[in-house]
Amino acid sequence: MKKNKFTLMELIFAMGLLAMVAALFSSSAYNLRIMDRNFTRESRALQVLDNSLERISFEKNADFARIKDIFEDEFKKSVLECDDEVRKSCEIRNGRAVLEIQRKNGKKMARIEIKCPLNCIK
Amino acid sequence: MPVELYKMRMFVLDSMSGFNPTCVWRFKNRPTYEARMAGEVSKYKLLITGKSMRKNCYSLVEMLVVIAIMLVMFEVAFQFFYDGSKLCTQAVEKSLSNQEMFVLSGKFRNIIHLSPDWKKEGDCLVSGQKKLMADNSRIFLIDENGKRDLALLPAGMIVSLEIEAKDNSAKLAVLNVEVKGKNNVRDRIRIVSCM
Repeated sequence: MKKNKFTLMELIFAMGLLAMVAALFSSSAYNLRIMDRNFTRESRALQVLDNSLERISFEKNADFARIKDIFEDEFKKSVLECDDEVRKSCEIRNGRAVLEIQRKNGKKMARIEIKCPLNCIK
Repeated sequence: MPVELYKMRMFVLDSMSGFNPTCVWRFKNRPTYEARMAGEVSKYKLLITGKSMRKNCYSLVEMLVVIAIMLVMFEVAFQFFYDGSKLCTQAVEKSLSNQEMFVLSGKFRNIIHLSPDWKKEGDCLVSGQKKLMADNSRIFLIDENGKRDLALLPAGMIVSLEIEAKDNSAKLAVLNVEVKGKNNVRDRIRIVSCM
C-alpha cells in the first residue's frame, strides 16, 4: 500500500523529467523548422543569383548599373522579395560587382563577384 | 458491537499487524475458542482486506481526472512525434526537390540554348520539331526521339512556361514552379534561360 504512494520529491522529479523531455522535443522541432526555412531561403537565393548570372552572361558590355538592374529585377520576381528576413546588396569592391543576398543579421546566404564591365565571373 | 466480534476483530488485526504477546496470552488457555476463532479469521481477514482495498479504489471524479490527464499527455506526446516526423519528412522532401530544381534548371537551359527561336503556343514552348510542355507537375520535351520527362517533381508542384521579352534585354524563357504550402502560402521558383 505504501508503494502506491509517491513522495513530493518523486513527483517533482517526474514532472521535471516530463518537462525536460517536452522541452527537448519542442526545441528540436523548432530548430528543425528554422533549419528547413533557412535551407529553402538559401536555395532560393542561389536560384536568384543563378538567374541573374544567366542573364548577365548574355549581355554585351554589361556595366555595373545594368548588372544591378538585372539582379534587382530577379530578386523582385523571386519569393525572397516578400521575406523580411532577407536583404540584398549590390556594390562594387575592387573593380568587381559583388551581388550578395544576406540574412537580416548580416550572415551571407549567397554571393557572386563579377568583373566589371566584362562578363568574366570569378 | 458484540464483545466476541470485537475480540475476533482485534485478533485478526493483531495477527495481521504481527506477533502480539497479549493476544497469545489471551487465547492460550482457551484452545477451543481459539480454534473456532481461527475458522472465522480467514473470513474476517477477507472482509478487512476487502475494506482496506476499497480504500485504494478511486472515486469517479478521481478516475475522470486521471483519464483526462492521461489523454492530454497522450495528445501532447502524439503531437510531438507527429510534428517531428512530419518536419523530418518535409525537410528531406524539400532538400530533394531543391536539388531536383537545380538539375531541372540545367536541363532547361541546355534545351533552350540549343535552339534560339522558341515561341509560346498555348502552354508549350515550340521550336521547330522540339516542343517543351508543362502539364501540372510534369514538364517534358517532345522531339524526334519521342517524349521524355525533364524532372520528377512532387505532385504538389505546378509548372508553367512563359516567354518574357523586354526592349533592352534578351528574350527570356521562364520556367515557373509553384509549390503548394500551408494556408495557401505558395513557394515560388523561377528558372530563367536566355534565348
